[in-house]
This record gives sequence, C-alpha cells and structure tokens, in this order.
Amino acid sequence: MVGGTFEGTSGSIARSGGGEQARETLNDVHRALVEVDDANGVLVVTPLVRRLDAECAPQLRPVLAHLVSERRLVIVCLSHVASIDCSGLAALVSAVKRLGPGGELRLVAACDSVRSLISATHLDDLLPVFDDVVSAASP
Amino acid sequence: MSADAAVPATRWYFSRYETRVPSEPLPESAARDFAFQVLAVMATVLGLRYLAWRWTSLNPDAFWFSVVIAAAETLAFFGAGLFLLSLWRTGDPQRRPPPASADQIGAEPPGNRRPIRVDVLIATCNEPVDLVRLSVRDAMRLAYPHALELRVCVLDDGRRHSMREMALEEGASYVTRDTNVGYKAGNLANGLEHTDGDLVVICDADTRVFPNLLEETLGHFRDPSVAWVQTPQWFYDISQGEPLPEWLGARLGRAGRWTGRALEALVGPVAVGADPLGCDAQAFYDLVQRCRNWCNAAFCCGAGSIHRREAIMESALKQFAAQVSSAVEPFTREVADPTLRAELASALTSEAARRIEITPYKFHVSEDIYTSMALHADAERRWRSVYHPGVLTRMLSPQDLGAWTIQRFKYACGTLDIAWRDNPLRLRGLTPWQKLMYGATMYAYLAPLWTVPLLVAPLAFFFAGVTPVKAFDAVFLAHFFPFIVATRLALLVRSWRVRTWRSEQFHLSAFWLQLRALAHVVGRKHIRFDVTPKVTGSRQSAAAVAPHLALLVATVVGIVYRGALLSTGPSPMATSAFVSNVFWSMHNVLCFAPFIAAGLAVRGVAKERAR
Repeated sequence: MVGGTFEGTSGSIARSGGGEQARETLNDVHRALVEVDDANGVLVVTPLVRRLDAECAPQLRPVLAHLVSERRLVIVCLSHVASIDCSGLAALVSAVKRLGPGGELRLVAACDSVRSLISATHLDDLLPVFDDVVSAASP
Repeated sequence: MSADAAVPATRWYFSRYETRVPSEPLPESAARDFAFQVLAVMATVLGLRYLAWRWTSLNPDAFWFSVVIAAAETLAFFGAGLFLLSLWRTGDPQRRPPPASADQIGAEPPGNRRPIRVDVLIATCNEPVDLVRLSVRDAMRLAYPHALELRVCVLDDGRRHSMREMALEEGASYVTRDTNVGYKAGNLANGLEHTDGDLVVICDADTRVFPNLLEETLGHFRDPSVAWVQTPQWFYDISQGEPLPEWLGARLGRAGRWTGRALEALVGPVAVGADPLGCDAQAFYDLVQRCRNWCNAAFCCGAGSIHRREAIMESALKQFAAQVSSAVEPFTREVADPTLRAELASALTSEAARRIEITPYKFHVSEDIYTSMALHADAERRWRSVYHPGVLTRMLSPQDLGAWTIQRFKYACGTLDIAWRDNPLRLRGLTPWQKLMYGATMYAYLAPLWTVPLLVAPLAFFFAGVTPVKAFDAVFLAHFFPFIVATRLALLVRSWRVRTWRSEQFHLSAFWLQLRALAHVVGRKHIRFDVTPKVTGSRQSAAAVAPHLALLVATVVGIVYRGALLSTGPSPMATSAFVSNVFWSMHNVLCFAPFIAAGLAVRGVAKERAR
C-alpha cells in the first residue's frame, strides 16, 4: 500500500513485567535500519536487523520503498538476517513493486530461513537468491 | 481512564441497551444431534418419495406449468437437503487456557517468552466519530491474565481530522491512506502494513468488544494451525418483543398465559414483535457456523474475528505469487529456447508484480468468505478455523429496511460472484465436507430460481385456473404431508431454543433482492460497495417492499376472482385446489407480513428511536 500514514504508540497490559518496547518514530529508525552502498552503480541495501519480521516491517517498508524507487537493479544483502516471517517477506515484495520497469531485486547472503520461506510461498522467480554480491551484480 | 469515560458523550438511541447481556448458547447434546440426524434422513427419504411421485404425476392439462413447478420443487428439495446436511452435527472447540507468551502460540521459537502482541483494527469510513469512540474505549478496556502488548488502531478511510483527534485522545493509534482502493479489505490491508501484532482483531466501526474477548479466545491459537477464530455477531440493539405467554395473557387472561406456555413448551420460546427488521443473526451463528466447526469449514464473517497475522500474510503472498506466475505463463510458454525464456520470464515477472496487489484481505465485496476459502484451500498448510460459540462482541443492527436491503444485496452479490469466478467445488485443497459447506452457502443464494416460481404458482391458479398437480387430493397429501412434517420436525430439533422464524420470513422475503443480485452477477456488472448505514433514516425501505405489496394485492384480487368463479359452479376438485392455493398464499403473505410492516413502518421506528 502506498502513502499510508500511522500515528500513535502501542499500549500494553504488563502484569508480569517486561516485554514492553517503545516503538520509535519513523525518522529515528531511518538511518539505523539499513546500510546503503551505491558505489559501483549497483545499489546494495543491507537491512541491519537480525529478524526481518512483522515488528520491523512497518519501518523497513517505507525505507526500502524510498531507496529502490524506479531502480533497475537492487541487491538486498541479508547477511544480518537470521530469521524472516511473511510480513518481512511482504516488505521485500512490496519493494519489488516499487522498482522501475523491468527492474529486479536480488537477494544475497540469504540464510536457510529466508530460502525456505521464499520457496514455501512460491516467490522464487520474484526474489532470486544469489551466492554473493559479485554474481548478483552481473546482468 | 476517568469514571465519566463510561458514559457516552452523545445520547444514542442504543444507550438504553447498554446493560443488555447476550444469551449463552445451548450446550452441545449428542442426543439432540442424533435425533436431528434421524429426522433429517427421514425427511430426505420422504422428500425423494414425494418427488418421485410428483414427476410421475405431472398435470397433462397444464403440462409445462406442471414441469416448471416440479423443477422448482426439486431445486428447493436439493437446497433443503444440502441445508440439513450442513447442519449434520455441532462440534464446539475445546476450551484451552489463555497462552502466557508468544512462543505458546507459535509466534516465537519455544522459550522466547515475550508477551503476545495484539492489534485491534477498527475500520471506519463514514461513521460518526462519537460512535467509533465507543468502540475504541471498549477495545482499550480489553483485559488479559498475562502480560500483553495491546494496540488499538482506528483505520480511517474517511481521512477525518476529528477522527484522528479522537483516536489519539483515547490513547489509540490512527492509520489512514491516500486512496480507498479495495474499500474495507484495502483499509484492513493498509492497517496490517502499519502494525505488527501477532494476532489481529477485526472490528467494524460499531463493533464493541467485551473485556474478556482475548482471554476467552486466545487459547485456540495454542494450536499453531489455527488461522482465525470467529465469534458470533450479536446485535444488541434489536427489539426483544414480548414473550408469547405475556402477550396472550394481556389479551386473553389466564387462559392466554397457559396457552402461551403450552405452545412454548412445544416449540421453544416465542417473542411477539421481536426483531422487526429481521437482523438477528443468532440462527446463522448458533446453527450454521456452529455446525461447520467439526469439519473445519466455519468461515470468517469480518467483525468479531481474531486472525493470526502470519496465516493471513502467508496466504496473501502465495496468492500473489500464483497470480504473478499465471500472468507470465501464457507468454513464456511459447518460447522454446530456455535462456530466452528465463530472460523473458524475469522481465515479465517484475512487470506483473508491479501491477498485481498483495491482498491479505481480498479486494472483494465478500472479502471474509473469500479469505476463508483461500486459507482453507491451502493444502500445504491445512489452516484451521475456529468458531467460538460464546458472544464476545456487540454491534449495531441495520437501522431500517433500506439498510437491511443494501447489506443483504451486498452479501448476495458477493457470494454469487465468488461462486461464479472461484467455484469452491472446483477448488483443489478443500476437503469434500468443506466443499459441501461452502457449496451450501452459495446454493442458498440461488433461491429465487425456486422461490419465484413457487410464489407465483398460486396466482397462476387464481387467474388461469391451472394447477401444478392433477388434483390436490388425498394422494397428493399422502405424499407431501409426511415430507414437510419430517422436515419441519428436523429443523425444530436442530434449532431448539434458537430464534429462526424471523430469519425464515426474511429469507423468503429476500427473493426480490436475491433475484436482482443474480441478474447483477450473471450480467457481470461491477459490484458497487455500499457501507451498511448504521445510524440513519432511509428512503429506500418502501421501495424494497414494492414487489411484495404487488404480490399481496395480486393474491387478494386473485382469491376474490377465483372465489367468485367457484361460487357460480363449484366442484369438489376445484374447491380443494382453491383451498390449497389459498392456504399456500396465506403462508406466503404471513411470511411477507413482517417484512412489509418493516418497510412501511420506517417512520414509526425512526420516531421511536429518536426518543
């Protein structure tokens, strides 16, 4: 979905203590969330999250959308990511939707969790996984 | 929260119903299930016997008329059979204690004991801010015996500043978007993108949750294959009427009271004048949904349901992938060279992906049943649905017959549209019982195919003198009567202590809007989305009953006309046909009576509500 806005924070019913996490506003997480390398003409985005899941997806989604907008080739390096869920995967797919015509989003350094979820949801064609940045960068 | 927060700021017509409590569903009973099954089998056998006789005793004097009516009766019988089969047995879910942490519902690996995150999504488009405020406040009061991260989100497709203010004032979050793509389904999808709850509670603008909603239902999610839990929708603002013994007592004294009690002992509680607009959904939830639990076919009805985010998202991604590949496949199939084909596929895939939406909730008028079908049909996951029989939310009923008609027309179009495009009978992945349950729901919307001929049949007799059978004689009765009695008995046992009369009357009265819906879908017209008005007066009520009034007038004229003809030259055959047709017409008119009254009495109701 494009152009949605969200305002507010989460409430919590904390009886046995712990678990409450403050949710930062979008601007705060912008820089801390991804590492961007655009040096050699190919954009490489590295999400700095261990879990690419529902919790980080709302923040990651607009950041990715902004970065990949109208690009031809974007490489997403998942070296930090140890686990993924469908909301996280949906954030990657929605990034694909923001690419330029004929654009492609390639994944590198995908762990088993990522690989198995991609094949379980039949998204292999849409999110091709490469071994390293060099092979992913070749046309 | 301050004490005065409990008092609504605006005085609504429904404020006086605040203290109403819903009735508990009748406990399951194996004996009642068995009695029903015996009667249902009897009814089916007797029905087959009647139809066999019927098709071999067509009326040669009015052959085609006789065939049409026999065909209508056959279709009706098939519908009744499906309905009885879909009510075969109840099967309430096992109660399980509320999970203490996310790992207990499979949202985290074992041992990761963070609190469960729950988002309450309240979708609104044009409802009054103060009405939504009540829903937000109740959602903020949700209780849970363990630590829980709760977020209440107002999803406003109206993009109203006042709604935003209210949400933030009440401590809720506010989500909006630039477009209204996909209507409610699109609004919910946008809400899902902006939230991160493990579980998501779906609410309409007027859905008010009870504090124990989560405590009662989250236990079901201990089973990691449970995708959603649906609770009954309870319209707490509908008139409860007067109990039959009291109503009769006021008119006939003690004799009336006793007669009333005797009747109630026979058929269960009767309330005179209850639910004048036929909104009560108890029959649907306590019978239809409750009898689908055992074979994993209870479907989601939107408001009052709790969803596992992962299930909804996974299903959405799979469907997205399937749509993309089916858009690409026709082009790549033609290319023989594997390298070229791979290149073409890659280019086309990204192009298709740009155009196709990810739809966690289907962009469809009947998004709920569609999403349910998609999840049930996922053969790789075997997602389960749970129907939780206890009432845990309350909501407002449509306020007049115009609103009722809009809502039912929407359901009818949506369901027929699914049957037309994604026939569940052809959907691989559904079990035979699931196909039967979904099929029964869809078949029920074909009702005009048989109700219209059967409603018009008496008129054909009154004006043209034709009858569908050779004679309404003892042979006819000997075949017809046992069948109809067994069917009614079976339904009486199945629906013990469930209010079904009003639903039946309104179902028959819906013939006209269902006929329109059928024409609409077969004509492949675009389905417009109308929000069911919640607090409004309407002008469409009188129009909705026009066909029924026309039928009523035609019936009266027909009876007088045929009666006059008969009085000049009576014959026993003609008299029995006349009596039968008058009896059948009276049944129809009595079924229409509350519907017509609802359409014409709209001003009276509005005035009563304004007080």
